[in-house]
Amino acid sequence: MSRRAPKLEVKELCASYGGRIILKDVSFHVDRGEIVAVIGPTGSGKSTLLRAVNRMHELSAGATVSGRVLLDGADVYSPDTDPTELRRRVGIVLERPIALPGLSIQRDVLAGYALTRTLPRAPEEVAETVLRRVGLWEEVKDRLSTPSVGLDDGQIQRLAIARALALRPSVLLLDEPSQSLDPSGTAHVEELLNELRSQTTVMLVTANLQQAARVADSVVFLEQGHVVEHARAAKIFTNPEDPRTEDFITGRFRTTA
Amino acid sequence: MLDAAHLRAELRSSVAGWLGRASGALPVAILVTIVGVLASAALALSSLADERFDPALGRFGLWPLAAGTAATTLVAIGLAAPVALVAAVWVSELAPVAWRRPLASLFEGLGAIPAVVYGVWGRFSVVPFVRDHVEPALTSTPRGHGFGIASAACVLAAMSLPLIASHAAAVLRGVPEPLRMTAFSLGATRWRVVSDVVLPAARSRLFGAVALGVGRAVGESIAVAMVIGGRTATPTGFFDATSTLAAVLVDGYVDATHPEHVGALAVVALVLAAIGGGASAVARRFLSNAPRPA
Amino acid sequence: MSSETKLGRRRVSLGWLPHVVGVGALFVVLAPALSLVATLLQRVRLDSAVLRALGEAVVGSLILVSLGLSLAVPLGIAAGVHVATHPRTRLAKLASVAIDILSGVPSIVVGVVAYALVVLPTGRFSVPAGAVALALVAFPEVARSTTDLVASVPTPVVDTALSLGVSSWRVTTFLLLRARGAALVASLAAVACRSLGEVAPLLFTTASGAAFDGSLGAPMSSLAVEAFLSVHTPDGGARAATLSLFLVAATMTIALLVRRRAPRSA
Repeated sequence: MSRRAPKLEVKELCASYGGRIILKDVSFHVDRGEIVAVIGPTGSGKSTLLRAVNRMHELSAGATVSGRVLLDGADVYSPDTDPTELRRRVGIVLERPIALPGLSIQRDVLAGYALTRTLPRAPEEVAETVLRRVGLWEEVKDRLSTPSVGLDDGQIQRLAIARALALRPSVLLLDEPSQSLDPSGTAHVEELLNELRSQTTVMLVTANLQQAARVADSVVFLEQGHVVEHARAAKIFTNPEDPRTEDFITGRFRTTA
Repeated sequence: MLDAAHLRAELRSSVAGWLGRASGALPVAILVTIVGVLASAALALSSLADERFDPALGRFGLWPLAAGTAATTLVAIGLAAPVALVAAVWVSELAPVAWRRPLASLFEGLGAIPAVVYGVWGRFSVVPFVRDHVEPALTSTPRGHGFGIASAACVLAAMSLPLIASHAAAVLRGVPEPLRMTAFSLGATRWRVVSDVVLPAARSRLFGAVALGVGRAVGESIAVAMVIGGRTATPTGFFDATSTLAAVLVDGYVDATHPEHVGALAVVALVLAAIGGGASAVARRFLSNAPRPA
Repeated sequence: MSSETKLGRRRVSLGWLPHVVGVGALFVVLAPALSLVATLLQRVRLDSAVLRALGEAVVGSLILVSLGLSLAVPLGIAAGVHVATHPRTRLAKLASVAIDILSGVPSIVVGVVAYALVVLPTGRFSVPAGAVALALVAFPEVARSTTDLVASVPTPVVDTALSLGVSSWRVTTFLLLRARGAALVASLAAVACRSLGEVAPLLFTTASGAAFDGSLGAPMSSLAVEAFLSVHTPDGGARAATLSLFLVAATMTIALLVRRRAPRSA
């Protein structure tokens, strides 16, 4: 069953943690099937923003959140929404992902099913498909039943993406997905993101501005919890409106010209 | 070229080396001493294979005492461990966040209450309760005094509950947060996160917490001695005055004069040391596989 | 409102059952303590006889615990540091196992051994005998806490300290005192708390007796031992209850105060 990628709108989202305000009145939108990259200095709240979209932020003790996040007009923060169901539709790959202990690679990839007591039609095929998509299949196809904790950081990173993809989310949130990857792994992930375009709405936090320029349709520049600028990728990297955006981007990224 | 400072440094470091080695040898020396003292007294004993422990008659079979220990410990831990574990899981994982620290602190506070106080409570509250309400309800020929395995198991269980619960809560707190978050991110409910991810990750260390509880229960002498009755006949029921391996030491050690009697008690002490020490060593192996934090 | 992305109605899952069971278990864990406190409060009586016994017992306990700890703490810290800083030597591994075993040996066994080692040769109950017995009980706990503390310092901190090029002795002292000083004090307080409540090590060594009269060679009363023995006193349990209540207050207070700082003892 295909699910169309929804339109994602964030409206006046505020979030705090331990009494400190992290996000202030964040508002932007992403058209269906598009990729938005969230860039900004460390501590600007990018990860919190990501985790607020699928209601993971509220799971931390001392965390509060207010505002609205709309998927095709439906507010994920409405009292009618089941957060656990939401998190299956909106997948997330956390920063510094881990392998689940005590599970084989095959079971780790399919962990989302086991945890919700559901079964895909053909588990091995699902596992193979997603492992191929993240470029991990060739490396692990001969050891699918060995423990996933034996993989190295780069493999675990790709495993975590595969794990999220296995549930076929209609929105995918990624927090620094290329952090532990070498250039070929990064290329694979970016190729994957291009493939996902139009089927899945993607929100990507990255410190790598070149990656944002290569992959994203639009970019949100977040600084100290505020949206400073939100524009199409082509525009923001060549002709940003706000001087703060320009300051952030130059010094890290120059167009070849 | 040697100079005074260099010599001093050399001396300091070799003294430090010696001190270090002596400190390392100390625990071993203490253990050896304890075992040695007890073993040498135990040599006076000719036979343990007796079904009765009756010093007046010169009979030193340990079976009645072992039976008392086994019965009280099994009942106490059998009751306390599951309840303590469930309470610990609830407090650490399912309770409202603001309550977690205070409740965990409460467990630790209660665990600090000395055994003798539980014994006092046992003598003044549990024993009469067993005598007046429990025994009459359960048997047709009540002994009428309230001492015995039932009271002792009750007191032991009461002591073990906060101990096991606080250890278990600490173990659960030690499960890394990224594990939980990953499970949540895949759409698991809070209960599934606990049952499928947290508990399996903590399983062997929770077992260690229970093992520690068992070890403490076997070695508990004071509180048990106060409510179990102090007779050394083999217990025939839960309401007979009887004794345990640990309690018999409390009652009799100073009065024992006959070398065989002393020897028998020394054997009891050795057995207790072995069980308690063994349980502790095993439990620590289960509990302490935390690597140095990065 | 598009129906293509359904977010699902909130499910009424097993939601309330785990909570009912959990709270029930919690209540069972807490209930005996409530009964205990009620029992004690019922029988407490602060008349002069009881208060005098309490005073003597407090003084006795303070003396015994201080003496016992002054033996156990230096030796325990030394042993613990050795085990933590020489992880690969055979001696240290043996010592670690010995410490684990010793911490599980019941205190009644320690009391019996101390009786054989000190009371029998000297022919009488005395304060030093009790101090030795308490020290034997406290030593493995101090050693284990120290080892855990030193081992809990994160690797980057250890590496930084080592890279400063000073002697390993200095590094260890730094790690223990600066990096983990508060936690060390907290675990020592916890050991003191436990020693306060011990009866078995003292029963055959310092036994029970009158107030401390300046001579170390005589029996002396202590809180826990007096509480134990005075259940037989024909005063309706007033003395036992008062001493016990004092013990509860003292030990719970110390435990709650140190909980913030002590490491998660493995």
